Amino acid sequence: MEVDTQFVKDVVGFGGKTLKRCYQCATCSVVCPQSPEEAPFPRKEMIWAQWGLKDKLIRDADIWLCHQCNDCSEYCPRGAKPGEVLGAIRAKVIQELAFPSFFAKILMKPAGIVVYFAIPIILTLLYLSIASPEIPEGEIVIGKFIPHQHIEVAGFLVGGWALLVAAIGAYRFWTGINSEVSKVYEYRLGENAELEAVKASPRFIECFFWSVIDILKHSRFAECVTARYRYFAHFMIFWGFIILGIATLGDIIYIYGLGVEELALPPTDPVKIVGNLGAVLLIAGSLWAITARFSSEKLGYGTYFDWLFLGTIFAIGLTGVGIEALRYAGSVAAYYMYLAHLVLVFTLIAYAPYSKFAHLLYRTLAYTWAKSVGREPQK
Amino acid sequence: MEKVGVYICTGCDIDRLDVERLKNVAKEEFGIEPKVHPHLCSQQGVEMLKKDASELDALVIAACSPRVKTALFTFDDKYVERANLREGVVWSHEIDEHAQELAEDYLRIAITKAQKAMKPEPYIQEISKDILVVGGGVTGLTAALEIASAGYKAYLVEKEAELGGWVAKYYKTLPIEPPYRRIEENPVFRLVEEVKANENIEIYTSAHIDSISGQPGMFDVVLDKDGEKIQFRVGGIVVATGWKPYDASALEELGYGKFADVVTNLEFEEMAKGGKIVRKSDGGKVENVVFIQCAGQRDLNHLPYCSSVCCLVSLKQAKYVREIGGNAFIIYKDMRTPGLWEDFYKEMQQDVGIYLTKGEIREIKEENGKLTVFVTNTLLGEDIEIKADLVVLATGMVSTLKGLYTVKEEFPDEKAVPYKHIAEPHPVKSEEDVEIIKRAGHILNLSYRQGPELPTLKYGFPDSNYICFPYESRRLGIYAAGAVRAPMEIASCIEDARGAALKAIQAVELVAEGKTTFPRTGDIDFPNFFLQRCTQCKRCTEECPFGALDEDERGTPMPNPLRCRRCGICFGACPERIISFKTYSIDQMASAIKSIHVPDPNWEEGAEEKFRFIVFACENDALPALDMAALNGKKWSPLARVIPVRCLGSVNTVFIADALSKGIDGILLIGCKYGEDYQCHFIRGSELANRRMENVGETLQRLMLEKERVQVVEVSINEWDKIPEIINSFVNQIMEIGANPYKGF
Repeated sequence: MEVDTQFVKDVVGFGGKTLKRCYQCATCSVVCPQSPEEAPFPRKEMIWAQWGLKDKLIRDADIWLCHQCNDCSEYCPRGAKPGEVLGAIRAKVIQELAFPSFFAKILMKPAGIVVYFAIPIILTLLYLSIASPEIPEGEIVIGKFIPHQHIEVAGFLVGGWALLVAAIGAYRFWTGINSEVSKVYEYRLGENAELEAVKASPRFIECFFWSVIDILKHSRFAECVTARYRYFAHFMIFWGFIILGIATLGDIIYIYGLGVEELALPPTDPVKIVGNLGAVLLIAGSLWAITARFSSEKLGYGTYFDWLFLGTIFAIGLTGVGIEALRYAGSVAAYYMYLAHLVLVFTLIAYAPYSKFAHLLYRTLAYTWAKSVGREPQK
Repeated sequence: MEKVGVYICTGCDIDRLDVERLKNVAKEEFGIEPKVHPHLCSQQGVEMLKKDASELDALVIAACSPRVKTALFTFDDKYVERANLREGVVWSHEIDEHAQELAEDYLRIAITKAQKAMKPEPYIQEISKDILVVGGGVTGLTAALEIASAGYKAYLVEKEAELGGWVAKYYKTLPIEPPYRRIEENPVFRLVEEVKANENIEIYTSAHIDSISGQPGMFDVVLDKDGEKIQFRVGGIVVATGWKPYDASALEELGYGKFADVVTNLEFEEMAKGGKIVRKSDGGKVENVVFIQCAGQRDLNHLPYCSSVCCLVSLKQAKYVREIGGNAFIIYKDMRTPGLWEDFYKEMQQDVGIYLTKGEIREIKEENGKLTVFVTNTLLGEDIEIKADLVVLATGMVSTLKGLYTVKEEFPDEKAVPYKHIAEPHPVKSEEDVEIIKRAGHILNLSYRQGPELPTLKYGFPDSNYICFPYESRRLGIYAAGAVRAPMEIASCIEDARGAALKAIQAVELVAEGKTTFPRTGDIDFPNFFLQRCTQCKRCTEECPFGALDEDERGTPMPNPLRCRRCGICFGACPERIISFKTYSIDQMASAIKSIHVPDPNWEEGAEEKFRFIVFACENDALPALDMAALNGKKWSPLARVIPVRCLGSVNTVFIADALSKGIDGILLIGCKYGEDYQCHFIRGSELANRRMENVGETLQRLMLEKERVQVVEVSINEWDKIPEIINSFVNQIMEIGANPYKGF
């Protein structure tokens, strides 16, 4: 057995600084509402992290079943904050699974914020120098400044890149959690009375479907007691995004279905109403999350990794609404706000596999896998 | 005592009794005019008593229990006898005719005892108040410094050439002061300098003790320093000879002796002190060190106990490994860092290079010069293998008293050992075995008839009344401190040394006034021996728990009053009844028993219902239990008369004979628990009482009396709720058997 001291230091650096306080009493595992009864979490993850067992943690689906309710941190007698430590482990695992990992490492350091914004800003400036768009006169119509086709191309490129990297990460993750290394616990008696490791069953689609239903309902999140606000705040952010997506669908229908050239919808337009609803949910949810994070030292304030993601979402919401407000006010500042908005949206999507946003991928896969091997939370 | 005053308090519900009848007992049966007061413990009450006391020899105070208001009812050195009318009568019985008769008997007993008591004279000698400290380690050094700073002279004797003991060999030490988080630089050298500079401390190194004779206050010590004899006299002794490491050659299954790179925690400490933590086999660099806890401990095959410091020491030594850039792995059964040491554990845990898990060592193998440790049942959920450059076994501490020839009774000859509390009787078959053990060395070499060292109890640690006074030993004036008494780390040793030094100072000050120490602290009355009638049966010299009696060639006891704790076990043992205290004598107790009014069935109507019982209750656990039961509203049969004694061992069998011939139907002895986890404050008093009463049982049967009439019951001070059941079931049992046939003879 090799211990990886650097891994321990990394987890500590990512916000798990109370990691070493754990003395394995297992109160956290007993209290966790998400944990199954068989080989529960987060106790074993705490000692694996203390011993720097990187391989085990990369291939552990349990860290993604955790929603950081912080029930564990509330009850931990040592102040080891397992909730926060698991958050740090997730950050580290995202970094390890992402491709290329050096890029993930850059983005995860606070100093990396320079790179974080530099890339989209440079790309934007490049576009502006090549395309030389002009601030149009008269009514504020975003599409007259930057045509919607350019946005679509950019979107497909950036989105495609993100999807590629995500696919690599997903492949690594899926093979990892189905491998022997993670199997300290998932065995069953097979034929010939031999112990068989349980692998995800072929009913992948079915489990995936039901996992998506669970996620849409946030039914697991609702079990959390201590940081209950997270259930509500995350629900709002999540559905805010989906509703904005539906509004975007409405936009696409207008442009390609009804043949509108460029969109400048009034506030009474049904698509606009849907869009604004989504924006309100997004902003309110992220604002709630931001303020509530400051409320308890015991549960942890979060790290740069958390704040970067949360801050980006909040800023996207603000800039989005800002564009709308400035447009209705008739100010050309709306176009500049639009550029800012684009930069932020780029960071959200392009860096998705490297940032906290990656939880969308890994947690969904972990839910699916857990369902397929029967790892349900204890009742 | 000639002039006896009788005072009856009517407060605390005692006035529910018929006080006139109580007064008549004193007046008509003893010719003493009693005084009645509603509130004797009030200022006026006490002033009245004080005024009267100047004219009296003895005062009988019929009020509350003798355990309360003792300071208030002390009048210079006048004899005070208490009749327990409050806890003993009105709080523990229904107020009826039986309770009244009980109160009257208590008054009779008290007045009789007061009349028969004599004035004790203290045994004052010219004594030394100097104190000998044996052992120059951290404990001994601290004790000597504390003794000196209190203004007494200390003699410090160390068998090695240098002071400092084990701690001088350590690289760094555990913290000795709050907040107990930092590893410290070694504090012992500062202590050595302070001791050397102190004028009140006389130091003898490279010296051992040839002999110590005498008694507290007058210990004559002879030292042997490189052949030269040195003599001096001291008043008290502190034994601080510390520990020795468990012999690791017994730990072959953990690789000690098999592989060069397996060392003990002490050896690892020496490597660190020398600045060379390297692989022992080839001198190579050390990267991984595995610490194995509970090595040879908590194991019936080795040391059955936990040495309490090794978890802390391994945490400390793990930091040494980190200092040289290595990784430390600690495999434990439990991580024991009691009390505030939890903060030390938390601090050491923070280091990312210290890896901790519970686990069992399956085996240790060697491959290509590197050791691999196979661990199972870990917290990681699977078996693990760790490649180690060094394996450190956390071995335990053994008292320096272990294996020494301590007291005769631990090395029995043909007779079976009667004292069950000796947990490990040494297997001795012949005088030769005794000689071998004697050559194992000695510490004190006391010239006591009972043996040359402090008696030990479990695992070779000195016997003491641990619950009340951990530093006390079974030798008055001699106190054990530090790791010789129990495994402990430096901070506790320092605290222990302070405690023992204070106890030693207390002892010499008391002894200077002829007083004894724990548990009858301040008592000046010591046993007198009427040796003309001694038959040299040797019961007193053997049974004394504290070795207070030496013997001459014929076996006649030679008392040393200053060694005596006044328990009275010798008094209870003597078949010729030649031993007596001035305030506790055969005549006094016999008269008190005879003063009890036993209704004669020939002359009194209804006397058949009025059985009479005596309960001898020891003052250490039984009497407090009785008082506490009364305090908590328990009630029991009013037919039992409780007579407090200093120890059940001080109950002479002649009391039983006197009681039975007087017509008492049953005698119950209630005392502290004896046995392996004994509570008896005088070590073996209740056990001896039990044995003697078994012998009495045989005599009773020859007299055609039922042996059930005399019973011994053990009770703990916290079992007061059982008192009513104990007394009532005894009473009912005897009532079923029937009245004492000798009643009315």
